[in-house]
Amino acid sequence: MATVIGELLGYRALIRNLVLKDLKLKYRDSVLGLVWSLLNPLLMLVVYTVAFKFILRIETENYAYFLLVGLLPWNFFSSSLVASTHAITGNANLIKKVYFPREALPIATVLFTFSQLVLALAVFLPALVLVSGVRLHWTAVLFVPLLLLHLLFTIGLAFILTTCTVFFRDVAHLTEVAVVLLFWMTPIIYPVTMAPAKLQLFFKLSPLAAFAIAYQDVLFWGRVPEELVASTLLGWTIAALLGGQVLFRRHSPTFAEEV
Amino acid sequence: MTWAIELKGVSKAFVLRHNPAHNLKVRLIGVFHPRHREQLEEFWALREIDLAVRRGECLGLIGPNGSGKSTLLRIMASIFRPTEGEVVVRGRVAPMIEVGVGFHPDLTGQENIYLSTSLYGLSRRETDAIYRQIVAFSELGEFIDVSVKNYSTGMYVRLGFSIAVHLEPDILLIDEVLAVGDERFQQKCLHRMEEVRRRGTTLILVSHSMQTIERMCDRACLLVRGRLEAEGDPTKVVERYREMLSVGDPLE
Repeated sequence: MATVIGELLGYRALIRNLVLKDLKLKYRDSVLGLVWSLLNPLLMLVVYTVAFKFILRIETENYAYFLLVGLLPWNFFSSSLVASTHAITGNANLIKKVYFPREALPIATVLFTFSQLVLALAVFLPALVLVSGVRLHWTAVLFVPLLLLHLLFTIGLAFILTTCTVFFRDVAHLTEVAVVLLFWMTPIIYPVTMAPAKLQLFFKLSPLAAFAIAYQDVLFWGRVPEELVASTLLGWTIAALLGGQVLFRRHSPTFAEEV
Repeated sequence: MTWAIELKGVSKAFVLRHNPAHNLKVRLIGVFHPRHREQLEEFWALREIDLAVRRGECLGLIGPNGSGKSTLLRIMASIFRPTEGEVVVRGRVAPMIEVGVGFHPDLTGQENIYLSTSLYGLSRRETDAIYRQIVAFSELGEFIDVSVKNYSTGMYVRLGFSIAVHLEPDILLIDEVLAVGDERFQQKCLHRMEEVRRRGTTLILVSHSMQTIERMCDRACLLVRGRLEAEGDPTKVVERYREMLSVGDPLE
């Protein structure tokens, strides 16, 4: 692990340039530019708010804000996973031509999506806090370490998915379906307290739900996440990162032959 | 004597997949229909190569198509891992298997320079230091701010080659790329490579141009069907290769 980190630090210019490349390609030649990155979450917020607040009548105050807190990080998570499946297979031309630590590719993919999350948060978070008039509690500062933990967890899963896709191209399609299903099984549009007690325990042990619960805790409810949720997050992040990295390193020397 | 590269008994087998089962459907069908099962065949691209390259040496690799030259280069560059044997490489290697590795057509020449050099492990500061030289050598002038997709083939090649010869690695691996560009630029590239060599860079050159091999190299290796057939003085090895071709090797 230490050697991998050292090697990647030597190639940080590469990771940076790969992220910059994606950003430039996304915004160059598009008139509305950055607006496109904001339009998608905005529309989702509007549609879900109408559906769940006004039609299904979920009794949560400041529902749009509650939704935002879980939805934006989820968008980052799900689009990272979908994009990362192609991180290796989509860059065959690079992998066959030059050696560099292959981890740079999935990491750059996830960081690019993360930059989109930071942008969306920077616009929507202050806007919704102002509009809804919620008072931010001090626990809001915990949002930053939570985001970083989420980033590491996602990178770990990206390692796993991108490796699996090299050997089974189905994984890319499977991931696209899975993230849609997982979205509805994660307490983002509904508070976890609406679920039956047994299911609540399951939520608190599952990493995807635990991230959503923790975000809502620190930003919406203004409380420190309970120990069970916090340890779920830490445990799963370490497991994903270590497991993903080991799996990736075991197979990355053969990527040039398989892609 | 210091060695830049040492290969001991290096062999490389590729697995050829007939009916490749990169998806689950084919795997599942294969369970019931043996005829559709993925069939694996080993293909030995290199067999028992023993080769050591001195630091600062210029080594030429020649041989017919499919003789394993590019595979050997990729093993030296750590892109492939040998199936058997041992590889020791001392120093930073820059493989140039293609001109313009990592170029994206929608990025400008400048952006592509930074992207491409970082693929070879250069930091931003290291690229800053050689950026002007790269642009000057490529003769692109103001076109450096234009998207690469608008370049002519010649411009593209000049930029790609210019990056490769300014990376200043300890070991530079060059695969066939000299065959491109016009006569004048080819000569310029050869000059530049001689200059690079004088500074102590180890050069390994794959080429079908016997003239280039004889002009540039201290030593040449002839690869045939993955085996090291001859090795030594470039003129003699080239002669041997010519004889072999005139006899009419089935591979050609």
